[in-house]
Amino acid sequence: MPSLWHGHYLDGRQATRHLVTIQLTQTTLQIVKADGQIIHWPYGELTQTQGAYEGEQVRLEHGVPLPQTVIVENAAFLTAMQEAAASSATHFHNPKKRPLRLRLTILAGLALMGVIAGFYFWGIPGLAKLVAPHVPISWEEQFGIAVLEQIAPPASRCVAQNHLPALQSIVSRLSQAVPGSPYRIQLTVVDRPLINAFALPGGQVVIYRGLLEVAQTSEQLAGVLAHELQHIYKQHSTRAMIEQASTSLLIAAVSGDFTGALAYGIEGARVLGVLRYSRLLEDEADREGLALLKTVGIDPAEMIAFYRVMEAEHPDDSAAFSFLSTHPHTGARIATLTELAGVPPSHPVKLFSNEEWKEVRALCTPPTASVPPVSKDNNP
Amino acid sequence: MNTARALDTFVRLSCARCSTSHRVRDIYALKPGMKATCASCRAPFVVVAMPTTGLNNAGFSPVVDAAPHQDVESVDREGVRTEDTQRPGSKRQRAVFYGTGGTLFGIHLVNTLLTLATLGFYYYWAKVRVRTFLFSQTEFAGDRFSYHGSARELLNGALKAGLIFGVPYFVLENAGPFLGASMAIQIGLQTAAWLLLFLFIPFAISGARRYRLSRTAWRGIRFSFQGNTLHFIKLWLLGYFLTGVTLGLYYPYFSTKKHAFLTAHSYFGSEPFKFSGNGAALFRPFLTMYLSAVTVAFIVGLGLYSFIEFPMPNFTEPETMGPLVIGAVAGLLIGALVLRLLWLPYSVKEQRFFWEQTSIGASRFQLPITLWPYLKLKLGNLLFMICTLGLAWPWITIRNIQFMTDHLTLVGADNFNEIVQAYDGAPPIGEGLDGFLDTGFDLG
Repeated sequence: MPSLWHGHYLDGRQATRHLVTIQLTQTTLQIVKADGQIIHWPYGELTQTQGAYEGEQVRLEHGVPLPQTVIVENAAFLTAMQEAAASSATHFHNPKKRPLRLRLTILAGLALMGVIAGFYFWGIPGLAKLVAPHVPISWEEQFGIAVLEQIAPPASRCVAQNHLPALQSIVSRLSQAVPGSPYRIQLTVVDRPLINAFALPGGQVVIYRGLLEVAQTSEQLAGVLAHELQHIYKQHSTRAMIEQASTSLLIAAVSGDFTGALAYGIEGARVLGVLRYSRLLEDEADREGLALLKTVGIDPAEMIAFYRVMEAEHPDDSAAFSFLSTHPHTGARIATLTELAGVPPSHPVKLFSNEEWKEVRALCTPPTASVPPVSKDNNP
Repeated sequence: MNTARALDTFVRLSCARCSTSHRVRDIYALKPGMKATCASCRAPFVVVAMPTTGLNNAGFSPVVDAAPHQDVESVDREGVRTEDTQRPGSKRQRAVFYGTGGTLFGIHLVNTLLTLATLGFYYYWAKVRVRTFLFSQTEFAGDRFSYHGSARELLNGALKAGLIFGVPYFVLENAGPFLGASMAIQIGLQTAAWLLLFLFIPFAISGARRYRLSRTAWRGIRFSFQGNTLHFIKLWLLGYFLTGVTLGLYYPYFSTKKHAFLTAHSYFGSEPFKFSGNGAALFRPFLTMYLSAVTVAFIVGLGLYSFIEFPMPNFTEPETMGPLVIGAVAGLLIGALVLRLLWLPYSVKEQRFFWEQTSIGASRFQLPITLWPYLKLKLGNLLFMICTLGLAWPWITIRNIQFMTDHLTLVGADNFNEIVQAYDGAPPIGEGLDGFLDTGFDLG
């Protein structure tokens, strides 16, 4: 390997390049300028700032904050320097180690896939589960009320004074089976034909008129409410918010810096990632809701029957596209619940008779003069 | 390898027609009359003379376009010499970017792994690694740029900005609902948060520019930004105010003033950049875009209103507000969409104009970009990114840089050899809050 090289020298004061000859000795870099002046730089005082990647010049800097610089085009210069200086040049990049770096990078890629999977499958849900219980209940309650005002303003609610307590009694019946819960459950019925119900943080449960109308028995509605109550007890909204924020951070870390329109491009990844969490929470609410029904003594078959009604309402749902949904595929949910339901109770609790239920579920129609029924189990 | 071979015997040449850079491995192996063709556009090259003395730096500037030197010249297919036709001494110089997406992807993989493993702490070190790589791969007039920032400085800058703006913004933004404050107070807090953010933007632009330029060097000479941040904030506030009261029509003047301020206070060593334009040149294209969007919005709004209103022509009834609101909202949405689409050709014109008005010494920049290549770049990037769910970031970054280096040209006689260092060596982040506004910082 030659010990004499050509390069360019920059003095750090002027933007003029000086063609120089560089001699490698055991301890120093000797730079011979065109005017014959010789500069000695001990290897230990040099910093290599370029030349670690293919296609880069070798750039060695001496001094701070405005260094003098030597630039050599040929990367073989680095190898020559390692050979000439041995122990005092170990802090420079060694091109011979590039294949090793490539292998390490591939390993880093594999490790990264593992870390991302770890974060996504365990880290983020685990973090949400860990952090959610430390969020003050009052924050959840205020947030829940604020959202309720937005999506179910008072003017849209069914407020038939004589029937609402009947529904509330079902909620009480279920919530009494979870002693020690800090949440006070508040039920709101919205006068819209949608077949839907949802829970908000802090204890707000919203059901739509459409759902009341398709629930054939009070126990079917209890199944829906048990599911929604578990969303509240398990702090699913709070966990979902933590999961969404963490997923956004994870994607930002993995995908680099994007600004402007490109930032919207990775929105797809975020939505897909978060949808899976949503389905997991729904699954947990199903399982825990069914357990709650069993604790109260209501036949889980009622809950399953309601899901069948839902399935009949949406026969076109495809299991293949369930990854694009916030909820698991209804067929899969029914299968899971049927498996968990086990042996039906010998004396299932009946909340309302069919006649009473028909009256209760007509909550959003103008009130009649009849006496409102109340859940039988709440009657002394 | 003998000593002679170990010397720098290769040079880079740029094709006069397509600007592709070529490497001549051994300059001494060239003989007059030797021919070659550009691998990219097939333009023929011919060697007409050889240097008689040793390698001369100025004579072998690898990015000098149109082969303006005596030793090698290029001819096009028709045999017409495409030698630089500028006045004597005038050059047409362009940057070359050598980096590949694969290498950047490798760096990005390791960076991401370490960022996740350190729960985000490595982010600033990752940023420095990427910038160092991108700068090192960019060459202008035979020399690479170099980045001199450090992760510690980035972290400090982000922490200071976070403490002074981030924390108060977060508190103002989120305190309302938790305090159970009245609606009026909540709106007040929210407005204060927005105002703070609004003031932070010009401050951040100025600070980031000051920091980044002070940490960028070429031929060992640092760039710098010496604009007064308070002046920039005033310009920003006045610009937004005038843009608002003119319903947006002042925008081309505002954006030009903003750009002029940032450019004209930037230096390469002792040499200032100059900006000579004003917004008048951009007003016409802006007005065309603006009027097109407004017209479309008006037609859609009115059309939809009439369509809904036609079956029930009760103009005096309160329910006619419904169609009116629907028409207005739809008109605004469609108008915004049209504006967004037309913004792309306007943005091409704006970028061209901004660069063409920028000069340094006796040289002026040119950015001869047209809509279609720019559109292909941006749409391609978007598609690439959506299909890879964001993983294509390294390739997109390089596509963007290469688009600029392929087009941006510096034309004129350069005076690089006369430029001297003006960097005072002061740290970019001031101590304490004295003069905090004029400290350089970067959010990373």
